[in-house]
Amino acid sequence: MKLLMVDDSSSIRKVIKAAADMLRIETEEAEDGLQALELLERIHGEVDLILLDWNMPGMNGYDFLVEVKKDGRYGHIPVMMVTTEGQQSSIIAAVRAGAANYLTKPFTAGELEAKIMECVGGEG
Amino acid sequence: MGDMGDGGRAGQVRDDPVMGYVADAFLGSLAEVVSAATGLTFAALEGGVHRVGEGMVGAMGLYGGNRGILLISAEEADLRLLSSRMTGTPPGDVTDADMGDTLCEIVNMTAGGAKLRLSGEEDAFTLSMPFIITGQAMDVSFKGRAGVVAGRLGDGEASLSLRVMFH
Ligand SMILES: [Mg+2]
Repeated sequence: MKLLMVDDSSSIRKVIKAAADMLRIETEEAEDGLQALELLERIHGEVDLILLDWNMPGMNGYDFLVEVKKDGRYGHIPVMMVTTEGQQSSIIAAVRAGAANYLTKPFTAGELEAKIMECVGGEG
Repeated sequence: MGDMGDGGRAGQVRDDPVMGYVADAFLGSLAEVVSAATGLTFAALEGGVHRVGEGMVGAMGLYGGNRGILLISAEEADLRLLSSRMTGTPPGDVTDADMGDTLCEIVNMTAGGAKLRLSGEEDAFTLSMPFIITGQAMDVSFKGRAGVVAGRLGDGEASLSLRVMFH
């Protein structure tokens, strides 16, 4: 089991890494959408879940989501938005673009772990 | 209006119901962010906010319907503690870059939470990328009819000052 976290904040990536470690899930990380697309290419899309920030420099999370979902190689990978954009309009836009789940920042470690388990279909 | 060198006081804000509502949204959001990210319970502190330029300042331009700037500042020792608690890094291993990143993300999450609290049919404002200001006791001036929100939150161990200025 492996997840890809895409977030420009190294602090948030550390928090996600700690949660993934607790759940014994391997991680890959990228700082923005473009870096994440390059990484996916390099690892041949071999991740089981993508955790995706919205506000990032370079390619933002929404644009990355659209790119991934229209790409036949990666479109099947579930994407969970992990973002401070918590309004209904943003959630609807992300779900329409193909996001499978949504977690609003700030979150506690417990909330994050529960959401990851929900996405990967475990029993927590 | 504009000289924020003395750090606006929350008491001034409370006299204006609209700015009081805005203050509650931003300060409430900041308290929630700190609690979720670090486990610390921050409450309103008496006394003025940090001057801009004391310690590190995280900033974000707010655009859209309401335009302005959000500033959150803290002393280095306090930021070290917050970053350590958020990321699980031992305090001695927290770098300046780590502190800056943690402060930027606190700014980002605080703005997002305040936006959620203030938005109705229309978004209250649009977020932009947070950035860090460091330097010596600078004053911040702002053009236009600046609505100002300021307050300081903390517990026994650390504190953060928040300032929002709207055109
Ligand atoms: Mg971000």
